[in-house]
Amino acid sequence: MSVLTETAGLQAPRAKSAHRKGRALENVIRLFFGGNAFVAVVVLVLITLFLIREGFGFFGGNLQNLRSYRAAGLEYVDIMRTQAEAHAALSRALSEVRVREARKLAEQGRSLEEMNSALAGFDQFATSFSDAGNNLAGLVSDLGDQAIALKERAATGEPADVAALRSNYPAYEQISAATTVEINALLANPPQLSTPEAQRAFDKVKARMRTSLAEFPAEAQRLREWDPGRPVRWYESITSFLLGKEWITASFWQDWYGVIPLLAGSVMVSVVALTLAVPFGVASAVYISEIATRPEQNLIKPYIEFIAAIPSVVLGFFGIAVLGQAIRALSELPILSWVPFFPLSERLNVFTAGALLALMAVPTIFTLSEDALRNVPRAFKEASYALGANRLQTIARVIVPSSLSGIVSAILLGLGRVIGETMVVLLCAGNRIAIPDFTEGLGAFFQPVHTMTGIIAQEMGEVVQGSIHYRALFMVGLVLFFLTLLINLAAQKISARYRMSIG
Amino acid sequence: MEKGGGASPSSILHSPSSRRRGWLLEKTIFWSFRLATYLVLACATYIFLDIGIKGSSVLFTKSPPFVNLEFLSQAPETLYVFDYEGKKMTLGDREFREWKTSHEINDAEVTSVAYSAGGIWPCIVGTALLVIGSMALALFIGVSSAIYLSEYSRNGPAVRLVRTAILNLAGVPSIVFGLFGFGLFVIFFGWNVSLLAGWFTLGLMVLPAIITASEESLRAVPQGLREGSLALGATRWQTIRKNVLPYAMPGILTSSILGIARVAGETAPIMFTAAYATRDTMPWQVSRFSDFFFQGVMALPYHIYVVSSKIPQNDYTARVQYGAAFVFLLLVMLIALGSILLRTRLRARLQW
Amino acid sequence: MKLTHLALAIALAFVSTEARAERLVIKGSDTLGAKLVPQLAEQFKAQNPGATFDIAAEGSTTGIAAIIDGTAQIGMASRRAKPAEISAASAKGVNMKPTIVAYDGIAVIVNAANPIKGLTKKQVEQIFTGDITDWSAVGGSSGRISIYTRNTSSGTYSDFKELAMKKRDYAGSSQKMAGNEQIASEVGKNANGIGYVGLAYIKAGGTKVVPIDGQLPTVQSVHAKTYPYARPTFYYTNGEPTGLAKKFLDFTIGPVGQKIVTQVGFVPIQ
Repeated sequence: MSVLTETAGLQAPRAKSAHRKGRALENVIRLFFGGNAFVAVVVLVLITLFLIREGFGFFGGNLQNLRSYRAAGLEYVDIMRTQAEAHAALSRALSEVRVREARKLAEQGRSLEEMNSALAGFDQFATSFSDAGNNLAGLVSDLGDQAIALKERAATGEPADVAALRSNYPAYEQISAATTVEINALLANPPQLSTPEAQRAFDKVKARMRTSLAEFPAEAQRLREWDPGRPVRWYESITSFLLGKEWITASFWQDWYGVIPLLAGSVMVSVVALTLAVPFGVASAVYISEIATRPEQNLIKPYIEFIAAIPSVVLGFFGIAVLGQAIRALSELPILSWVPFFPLSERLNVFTAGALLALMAVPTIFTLSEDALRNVPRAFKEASYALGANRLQTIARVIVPSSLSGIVSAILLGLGRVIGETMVVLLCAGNRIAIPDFTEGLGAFFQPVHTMTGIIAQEMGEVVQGSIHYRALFMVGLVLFFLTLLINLAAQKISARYRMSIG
Repeated sequence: MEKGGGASPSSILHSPSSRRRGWLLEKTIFWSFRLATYLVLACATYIFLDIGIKGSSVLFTKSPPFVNLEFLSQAPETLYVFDYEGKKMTLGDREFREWKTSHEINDAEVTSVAYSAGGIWPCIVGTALLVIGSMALALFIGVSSAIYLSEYSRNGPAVRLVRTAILNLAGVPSIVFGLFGFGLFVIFFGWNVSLLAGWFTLGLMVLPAIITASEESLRAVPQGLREGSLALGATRWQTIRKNVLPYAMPGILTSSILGIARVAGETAPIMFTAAYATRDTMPWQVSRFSDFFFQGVMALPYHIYVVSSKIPQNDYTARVQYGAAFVFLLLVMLIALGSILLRTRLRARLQW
Repeated sequence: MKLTHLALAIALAFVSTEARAERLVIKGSDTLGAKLVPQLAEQFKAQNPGATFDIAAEGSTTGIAAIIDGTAQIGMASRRAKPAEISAASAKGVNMKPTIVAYDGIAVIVNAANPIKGLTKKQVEQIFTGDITDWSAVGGSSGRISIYTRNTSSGTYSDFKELAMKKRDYAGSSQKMAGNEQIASEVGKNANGIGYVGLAYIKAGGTKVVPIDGQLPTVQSVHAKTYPYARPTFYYTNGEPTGLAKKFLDFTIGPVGQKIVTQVGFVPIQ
């Protein structure tokens, strides 16, 4: 480049008027291109700045949101609510035990009446347990209404006085004590179940009941110590976003903007996509560059590049119209009934979306890996053959290792494409905003999720400009932005190192 | 890799049984690779065939002119389905209205499905307009930026930084550009959902890719061509115009055609910036010229999103769903095919 | 030759539209906008040649936001504006005026193969908030309940919270669907599914409507308010509507419009 500049400089002394005009024109042209480049850079910088501006406004709003949550006593009620919900969860666990027992009894050929009479004692127990929680649930519901009224009043600028709310503490203590007595009485005289499996499950639930009873004093302690005046620190607004496990919007109670469920969804879909795409993409790259015949190469290479051009919305439509249903039908086959989480109830889930995204990632991984494999110097291959290695050994020990960084960067770029894809996950991932239940093991990959890209697409059109929700979506966009930037940078760093090592 | 175990080359040469085992292993592995490759092709082919077969029954007809012109030339309409004198009738909105003037039918027995009659003409037009505008924008700014970066700028750390930044922006998800376009153009600038907002959003989305690809093709032109021209007394601009651009053109063209495929295929960025679900007027039916830029349009990818998520899936809706998906796939594939063909042809012609 | 023809045609198109075209921009509720309003618009266009429509149906919130921002003449909503929205509107000098155009019952639907005969209001609340997660708890055959709800911008989403769930939040396991039809088709394909849709969407294949406290949503039960999940649907305008917006609103609540309302499956206002 510098050589060129000097040559251009050599012409300058011979300037006549025509040359001057020429040089003026040259400068105009140069300015024109430079101006355009400047515009491009400025615009791209602006995008980043605008995203950051809109996104960072979120933290102020969210801090306000968290402060009013505490000041209006919603937090206080939620402490009680946790206890009430723990009780409800135990009730559900009891009904699951009943389902288990009933299924076993049905397998033994008992009729419905026999089953009901055999389970009468258990049903009595379950109902009494469930009823024991009613008072607390009622109190929580009453206090919830009060707290909401306080929050609304606080929004209009009046001071929120939570003293009235806290005056209900004695009632709580009374209810809590009564519940403890009731549950202890129930636990002292539990029913027996006939099948050992159900009995084991029941014993587990009973153990959980005892632990939950033991936690009552601690809950009461927390209620007593709860202080509406305790300041909400500025960083809690950030941590509640980055580490928050709930994304609840348009709530009558409290909006939560936690990115974790969405991130989990995006990551899980990407894991499925890459698990499928990496072996296939890399294997076909190796096949095409090292093993395939010439005509095969000439046909398959453009075909795979062709796949990259399928618009994502068409793939999403295919997922809704064909693939989702096919996966569910497959899971309902009797020969697959040994799989613990089959048959599937949701046809739109992580796997459906991941499988389609795999097809989008394969061309990226294939094309770039194939490039990397092809760029391995001939001499490497020839040296390997000369040492007596066969083709497989040459591929496995020489060609793939020396292009490994290229392949890794191809995989990273594939990941970047998958994690940023919107339409397929919006249409096919099931849109459930919750962290998947990992206790189901691999079954978690067949649950519906919502993703970062999907939530932006689904909720952006509805939000009021400038609201916390609007800014929260920009924050999600920023997370995506930096995540993909990071992935791309890593891919470049890795492939740059690879270029140097081969020279 | 040096310390990898297994048979060393010398032992392969000396033991026939291990050589046979090695041969068997090689065959198995090569075949599994072949299988993997063909499985990928099979999956893609299945999708092409599924959409192609069901879609071509919508797009093509058995009698002349062999193409379903109605589907390509009309706007979407509501479809009415009902029984009449033992016959199942399916009529589009206008037909149904006409039919009703001469027949009696109990309205309660008529089921209606939105979007399922008529065609997709406004969506095709909208997509074409979006592509033309955004590509013009992206090519103009993108190619001139690339020329500046590769031909005029000194290769200092600042330029390298700019280059890395642009390269990285090419990987930013399209929905993030959609978010940005919505926030800046639609709301902040007050352009509303409009062609202009769509152009800028899509144009900026492909800009980094166009700059990177164009610069790459410019830099691939051998330095000797430039130096020779400059040595003969040509100015910098003459050199670029006569000796650099012609040779870089194939690369720029390929990348821009791929850009077209990407712009046409994206849904996420136009969802909030340019697309309407239903729009009766065609884009040129505006009362003032300036209104042209501030109107939203229907677009093919968005229409596919709408008909695959907002109407049921049954025999009556398959027509518009598969038809639209097939036409769209066909369009994007043709563009991609064009780019691949162009690249092979131009590459064969320009070798140095 | 051909080119001049084309140019002439385009020029004519410009002139002709300049002469008569009147455009009405309508945004908002999917419940109204996916089926009812497009059909109303088609009939209206048949009666008033030259009128044209832009319709976007992404949820009631978008309709109300569009009236506040002034990007639409009519905002369709299946819920009333929230206090926050009304104050945001008045801050911009916009007077949100609702007009009831039809009544709707939110029907709770389950898969046609589901044996349950009915649910109580309490059970519906427990199911949608996640207190009950298995069908056996409400008298069905055992199986994990799959809950399908609308996305958060929908009026049906918040109406249902208010009418059926004592304003509690949906269970974390609920799936957010883009439209009524999508809920119906998922429930129709999932034996353990439950969801809710507007009355216009209950005919979808593979689903059945569950009586709530013994009441099925019908024109009569919605009118008599014996069906618990009944609600009005609205057109929002900025103050008194004028011009084409007024004509279309009058048309909607007039006899022809209300006949279409009935035909599509909503409950007319009279």
